[in-house]
Amino acid sequence: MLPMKSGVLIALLLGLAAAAAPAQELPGRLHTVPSTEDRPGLIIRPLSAPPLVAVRLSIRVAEAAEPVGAAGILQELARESFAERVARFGGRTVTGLTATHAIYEVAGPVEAFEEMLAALRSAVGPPSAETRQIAAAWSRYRGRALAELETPEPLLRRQLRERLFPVFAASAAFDARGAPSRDALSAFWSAVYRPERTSVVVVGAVEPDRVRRAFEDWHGPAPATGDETVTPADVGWEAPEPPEPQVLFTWAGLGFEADAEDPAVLAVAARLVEERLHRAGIGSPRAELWWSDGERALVVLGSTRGWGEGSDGDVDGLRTRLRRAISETAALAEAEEVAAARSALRQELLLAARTPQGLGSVIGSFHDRTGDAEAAGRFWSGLDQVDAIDVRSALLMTLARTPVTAEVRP
Amino acid sequence: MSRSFTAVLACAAALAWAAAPALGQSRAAILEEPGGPAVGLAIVLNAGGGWEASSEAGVTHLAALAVLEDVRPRLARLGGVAEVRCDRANIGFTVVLPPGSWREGVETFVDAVFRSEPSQEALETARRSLLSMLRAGEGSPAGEAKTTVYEALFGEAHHWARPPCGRVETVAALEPAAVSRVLRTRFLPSRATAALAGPVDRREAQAVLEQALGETRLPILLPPPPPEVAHRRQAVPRNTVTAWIALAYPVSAEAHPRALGLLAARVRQAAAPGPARPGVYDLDIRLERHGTGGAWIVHLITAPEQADQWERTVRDLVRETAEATMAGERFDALLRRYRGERLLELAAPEARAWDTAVQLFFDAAYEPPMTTLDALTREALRSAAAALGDPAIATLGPR
Repeated sequence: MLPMKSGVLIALLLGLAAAAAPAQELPGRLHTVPSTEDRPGLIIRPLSAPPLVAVRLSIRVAEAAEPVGAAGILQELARESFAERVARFGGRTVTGLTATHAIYEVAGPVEAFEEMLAALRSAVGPPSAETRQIAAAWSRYRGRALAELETPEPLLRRQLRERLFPVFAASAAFDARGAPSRDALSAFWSAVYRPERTSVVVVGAVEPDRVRRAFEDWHGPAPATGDETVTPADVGWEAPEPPEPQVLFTWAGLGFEADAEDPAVLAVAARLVEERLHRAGIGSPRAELWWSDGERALVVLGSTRGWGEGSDGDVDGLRTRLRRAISETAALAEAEEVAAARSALRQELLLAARTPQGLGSVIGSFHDRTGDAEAAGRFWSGLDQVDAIDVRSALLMTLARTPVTAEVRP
Repeated sequence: MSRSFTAVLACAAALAWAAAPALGQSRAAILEEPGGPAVGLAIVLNAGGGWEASSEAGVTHLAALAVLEDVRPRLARLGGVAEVRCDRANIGFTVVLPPGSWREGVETFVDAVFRSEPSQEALETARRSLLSMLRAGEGSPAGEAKTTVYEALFGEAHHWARPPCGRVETVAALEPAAVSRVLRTRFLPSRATAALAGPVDRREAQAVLEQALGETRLPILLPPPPPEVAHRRQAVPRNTVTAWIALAYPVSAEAHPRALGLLAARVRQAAAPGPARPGVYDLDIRLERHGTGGAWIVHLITAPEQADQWERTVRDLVRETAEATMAGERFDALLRRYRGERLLELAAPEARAWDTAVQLFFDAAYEPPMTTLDALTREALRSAAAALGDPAIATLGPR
């Protein structure tokens, strides 16, 4: 689950409002093409300048629970060659996983558009790695995931994710069975890396027809499978144990289910709550909107490394202060601070979406969450409508629900 | 979107990137980019560390930050964000604005830079912020390595060797009257170049910038060069776990910035951090320009035992590039890679505006990036490397 912290929210959301008005607001006019069995769904945003194009491909991996970690392994196997191939024409790549999707991004000069797609197609193509390579990829992926758990905040976030959104919570890093066999990985790829589960956002100085043509017959043949059931564990490879976290202060978090609340309202509310947490002296305070697949939550977290009441390490006191910040915002949010929070969110969105790659990320991340190409634009427009009454009402409704809790102690 | 509209966009793209006519062919330019998600503004001022007395080092930077602090709330209400850029030869601003409020945002910002005095509160907030930034950098090996190479290049006593953005002790002591004086005498339209990039109407943007800069045909005063360039090596022993190396190659006024950018790309290919070079921790290459040239500066951080090796690698590569043109295929591959990297550097509208305004500042002319990149040849690369002077070198690390 990707947290919708204000700053992260902006980075993820930066939606350009559908440009019906002459003064173009984000995201502008989009072309959409639905997926077929041979071609992924396309969202195209042409730009007149600069002479760059960015492509963001996302594959829905959420329901494919077995083999655990397969999406991460496939990305690890492809990462280096993807980057090297794109670097030849000065382009950049980004790969990553959200709670529901595997993301592959590439950006570069528009003159290299077809080459970019060829590199992308290879990156998401059928796996051909040997068992040893799969084990190495698994090690790298697991190593990065485990490194997160050495510090308290990521550990706390993981606990909250698992309790708020159990269906997305499976974490491959802790699967004691270890890396899958080559055949299991290929079967996963055949079942999941399909056009109908794939969405592509293309932003840049490229004509929509050229994009459509480039994605025809996108999906290639399935990988060959045989009797390759040998796993890395079979050849003596062992998964390392998760590390002990280094914790100096107590951390606590509360997560309130908020599916019924408008995401723009929640985003503004989260920003105001976080400001209040800062003023209260809570250590490393965060208030965020977490949003995936239509499920939303308001999450607040912080540590006892701060000042003021409850900074003596008492977790109940910390939880009380976290909750109080929400209830005070619900009671006291005024028009001026709501307007300031709206402005700040719009600024962050603008900064995130001002480049082709950033704009593609924003349009795509909203689409991943909702299945709606125009979701980013609706969020952008919705921000303008948020007022103090909306914020107070949404927070009161949220507070009426029993939150999930999590804590990390020294 | 209809084919005709698509064709219009393509045409607009070609026009925007093929030519951005300068207003009056001198100090302002507009990059009209229909359909873009944001507007970028850049203003570059003929002011900064190169003009300051030692006792007032940082006064220009502080003045710029105070302007920013003062205008921030008004910009924020319009959805805009601004930054200050501080350098030896100039000081400048970049602003990002939503398409729907770009005009009001530009007018508000220009008014703040050229016609308003920041409040005392804004000045003190800016001072606290600047002091915090300077304290974080002063005493760090990175800051010391940078200062040392400029001392090696310009001579220790020269004001061009000073850190361009101020020192803690001088900024803390600056009087408001000194900041006011800088604003009155140096933050002037006649000392500025400006550029706008994004979904703006050309005529409207022209009118806005003409209003902002006034007469745009007057020549901008470029900073004077230092009286002498000292080609020296300075070694600073420090008990650090890494070695810091800086090579500053003097550059003449005829230097081709993009050819030097291509040379930087060649050095990065050979010396940037990566799995094949575990002893290199960081590499940064930049061109600093002044009125009669500048310096092409390579900063490396390496394992101490490999410092000499990597210094030699960079120097040898520059020498090789200067002595013989690269083989065709190798050059083509290098150029292709550099073109993409360069275009990605200009992905944001304010980056394109800044690049344009800086060109106007130093060259009194604008050449679109694609034109410049298309003109790069093997001989241009060789000539650029050959025209570099002997480097001044600074090293910092364990003996």
